[in-house]
Amino acid sequence: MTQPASAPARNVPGRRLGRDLAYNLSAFFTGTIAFTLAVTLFSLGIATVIIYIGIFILLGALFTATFFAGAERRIATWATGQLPPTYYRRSTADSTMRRMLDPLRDGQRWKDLIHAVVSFPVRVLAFSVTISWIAAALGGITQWIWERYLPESNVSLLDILRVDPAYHVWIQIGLGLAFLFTLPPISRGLALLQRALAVGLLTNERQAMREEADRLTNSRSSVIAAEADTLRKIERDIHDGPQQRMVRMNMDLEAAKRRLDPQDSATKELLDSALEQSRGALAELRALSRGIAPPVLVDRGLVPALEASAARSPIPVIVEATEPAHGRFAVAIEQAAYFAGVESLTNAAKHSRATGCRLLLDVADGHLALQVRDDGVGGAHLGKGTGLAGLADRLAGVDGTLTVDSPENAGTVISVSIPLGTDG
Amino acid sequence: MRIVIAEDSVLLREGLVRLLREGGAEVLAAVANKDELLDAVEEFSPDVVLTDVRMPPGFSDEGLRAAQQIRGKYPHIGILVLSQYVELTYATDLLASASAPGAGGLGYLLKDRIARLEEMMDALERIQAGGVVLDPEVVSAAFSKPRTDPMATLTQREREVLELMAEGRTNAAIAATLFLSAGAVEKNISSIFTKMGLAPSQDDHRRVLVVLAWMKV
Repeated sequence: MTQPASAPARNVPGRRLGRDLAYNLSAFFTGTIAFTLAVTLFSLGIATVIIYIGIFILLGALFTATFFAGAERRIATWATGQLPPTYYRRSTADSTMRRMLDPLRDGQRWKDLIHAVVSFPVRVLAFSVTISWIAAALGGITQWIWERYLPESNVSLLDILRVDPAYHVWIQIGLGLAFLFTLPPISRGLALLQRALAVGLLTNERQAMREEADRLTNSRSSVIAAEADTLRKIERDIHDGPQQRMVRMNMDLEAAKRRLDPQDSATKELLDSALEQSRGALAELRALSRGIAPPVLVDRGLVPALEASAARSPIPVIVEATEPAHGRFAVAIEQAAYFAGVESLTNAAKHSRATGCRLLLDVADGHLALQVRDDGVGGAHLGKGTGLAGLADRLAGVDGTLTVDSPENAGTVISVSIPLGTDG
Repeated sequence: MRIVIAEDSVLLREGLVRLLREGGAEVLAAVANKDELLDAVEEFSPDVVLTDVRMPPGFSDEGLRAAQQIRGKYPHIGILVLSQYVELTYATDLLASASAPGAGGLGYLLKDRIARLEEMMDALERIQAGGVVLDPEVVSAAFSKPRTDPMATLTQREREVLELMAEGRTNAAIAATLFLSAGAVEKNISSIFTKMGLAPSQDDHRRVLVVLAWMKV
């Protein structure tokens, strides 16, 4: 476990005591205000719901309670260390009215209201006990100073117990010291009691985590989708910009060559070399585009794109796709599946020494299944630095899974499964 | 030769116009999208249409779809599709409409090829004559496809001949490329026809058919 940033400093007992005391003593004042407002507004709101205005008063009660809950969390954290996280529902309603009323449907806000009421007696207890304890400690220790100013008729507990007056002072001091030494644990106990109530009513860790998980899932999906779109855009920009210019440059260089004096071999050599460079650059750009977002995938979908890629494979590849696999899927899914297929084929061509390869594509139980089988030497694995490891990471982005079954000398089967989700 | 050009990139459109005029062709119209192309074909009825694959508005395969529409309406007009990419699906889609007797020629070339005047004019002339011209890269990609049909029974030499036929070469050019006699080329070709189960008929038409069969259209 890491140390929470705002943990009270354990190595300074004085500081801890100070914070506990401040927490216990201030609790009474904030608690009283919170309690009064919560009870008043809630009662008023409930009573006037019938004429609608009550709904807004209730909203006011909730917001007030949430405000005090925030203050309570802050001081509890300051005095006793980090609290579990709290989550309030974020309204996603379209209409302003719905958005305004949504806090009424948030359980946590109602728990804040309950806390304002329920914590009141606990806070009163914490305040009273702390005050009494401090008074007893200080009073006992200092009694020998102020005792002489007390009226004579005063009968103390010790007189009733028939204790010799000579010992009174010492007993008082002893009692005072006892109170003084027990003040830190008592004060700590009361602070922890209040903290427990705050943790119970003012935090909702599971809800917060679920919410966080939802939020991350959503943001990840949108990031993945945005990435897929960006890649397409980059591909289009390469196509429309540099690629066209290179082609035009080729044309112009060829035209220049045609107009050249046949005797001028030096210039012809230069032009030839320039042509060679621009052709090379064009070929590289084309390969780059294919690596980013192959146009055939964008235009035609997964099966034609994989077929085109299979056609470029140095080992013979047979592509078999069932009818549903010929459909179109979400951009990110198509891209992930395409690159999985291409990477698997590349892997087979590079390492398997296979004589042939089959690529199977199917849709079953809401998953897109892609399988690449070769009859090579096997021994493929998902180890670090292999193309397959990178592939597994890439698939994780769309919740896809990758399994490699590759016994030595018995061929390799790479299976990829991608959930199609609702937008598949 | 009367030609209509469709290419959305201004740079290339200008370059193409200049190149074809230099080659002695008559450029009737140079347009930038599918609709303009269809209008221009309607208006000028060219011998050959030269079109890019990706054009506005969708930048996907408008050029191919325009080519198919033109083929459906005016089957005699030759079509040469230019692409930045070797994609078999594009080539086979295009060829699917090529096999009717009397239909105009078809071609699918990478944009790299259009820089060379003589290659370009040569391709256009063969298309005008009703031939099929495929980019060597498309051909080699198609050849790397595993086959489970009569094609698999072709000899190495027959495959070489077929590849050159697919690129739209004449018998004489094939003979020169492979250092064979004209007779040997003819023998190879008729052997290919036999293995593919094509009855003797109009020679040009059979040449197209055999290429199509091999492209698995």
